[in-house]
Order: sequence, then C-alpha cells, then structure tokens
Amino acid sequence: MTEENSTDHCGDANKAFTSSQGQLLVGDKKYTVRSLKMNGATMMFLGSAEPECLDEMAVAMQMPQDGQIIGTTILGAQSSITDSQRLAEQFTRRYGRQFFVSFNAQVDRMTAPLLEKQLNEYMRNNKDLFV
Amino acid sequence: MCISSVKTNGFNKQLSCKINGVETEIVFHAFANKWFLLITQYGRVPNMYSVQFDLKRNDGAPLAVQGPINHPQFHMSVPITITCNFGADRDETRSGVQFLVNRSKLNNCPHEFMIGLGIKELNGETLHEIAKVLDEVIA
Repeated sequence: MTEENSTDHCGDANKAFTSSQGQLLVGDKKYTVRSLKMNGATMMFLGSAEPECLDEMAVAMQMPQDGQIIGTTILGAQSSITDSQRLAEQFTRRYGRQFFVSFNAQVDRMTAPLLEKQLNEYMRNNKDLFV
Repeated sequence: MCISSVKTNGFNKQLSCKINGVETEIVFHAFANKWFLLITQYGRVPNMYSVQFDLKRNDGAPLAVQGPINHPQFHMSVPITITCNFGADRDETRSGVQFLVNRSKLNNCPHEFMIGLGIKELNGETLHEIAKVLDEVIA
C-alpha cells in the first residue's frame, strides 16, 4: 500500500470536509473507493475503476429514539434492498454515524464477498478517512 | 496487498469558501454517466436532487431551443426535470438549481447530474456568487 500524505482542503479545519480516494484489486479487476467525511456523516462511492459510474445511492442512519438502524435507497433500483443500502446499514451499525453509500460495481457471487472483504480491510486500515 | 493506493483528495474538486460570508463546502466529481455536486453550508448532505436535461445537450439542437438565453429582453431557461431523491423538497431549492443550470457551466453537463444544495439564505446575490464559483470549479 502506498500513501500520499498531501492534504488538499482549505478553510476551517473543524468544519472542512475530508476526502480520499483508494483503489482495491480483486483478481485482475480494479475498483475505486472515494470517501467524503463530513460532520457526523460519511459518503462513500465504490465502483469499477473504468468506467466509473454513479447509478445507485443509499443512506442509512441511527434513529435517536431507539437506536434502530434505518436505511433507504435514494437512487437506482427501489424494488429490493440494494448493495448500497445493505452496506450503508452495515457501516452505520459499525461506526455509529450516518452513511451514504454508492455501490456501482458489477460483481458476481464469487467476487462480491472478496470485494466486500477488501473494502472492510481498507476501511479498517484507514479509519480516520471515514469516521 | 490488495490496496494499491490512497489519495487524500478523492474528487475532481473539493474546496471550502465563503459564500455571502458563510463558510461553504463544495464537492464536484464528474463520473462517467453523471456529475455529482454538493454545495452545503450545513456541514452535511442537506438534500439530493437528480437533474435531467429534457433536450440532450450538444446534440445539434439550436441554442434557441436548448437554452439558456440570458438577454435583458428575452430570457429562456434550460429545460430540465428535477427529482428530489432525499431531504426536504423545497421550491426555493428547485429554483436555485434551475438558476445555477441557467447561469453556470452546469449546463455543459453532457448527461445528467446529482446535486445537494444546502444554503442558509437562498437569494439572488448568493446564487450569483455560487454560479461564479461553479464556473471555476467546473473546468
């Protein structure tokens, strides 16, 4: 893993958003992860490196009353629980903050778990970029 | 190792600036099929709108049909369809989005775009300032 340590944001450090970009390799396929850390919420885009599309987006948050995790798909297929929604709910449960997730990768039953495992590893290793 | 690289600037443009004296965060990224734009003074995503152009841009249609025409005696907006995907759907926000499409490089978008627009005091002066910043953000 290589890291570039240049920070590229200006304004009030307490308020300014933090963004990052990383690449995951599953077999010979490349996936791009983009994250935007805001105040109390995180937005994440995951998609094939080329072409990088935006087709789906979901949001999940924890209800202040009972702590229940509520998620919904706001862009893309609404008929069933999307990968974006599932991941948004999972990250909200894990990190305790609102998550917007846009999952745009073409995966099958073989690559999906591998990609998810690498994404989890990436987030664990770079936790400060997400929360 | 599966992870090949990490960069600390994840989008085409991400900046923080003062709009009408209020700290404003702007994030822009051109995906292959959509542009993504977030303009917020609330420190988070206030809403999310999908904007589709009713006429395909740069498809040979004359400017008089595609818009915008910003002439003192004759004004024509870019025909768009705005859908609220998330957050409070307010008329002022929709008007703001239409204004920004008419008055900034947003109307160069080849496909459709998603925009989150969270401005504390939405008025003409603020929107003009945002349009000016957008012209620099969208290369």
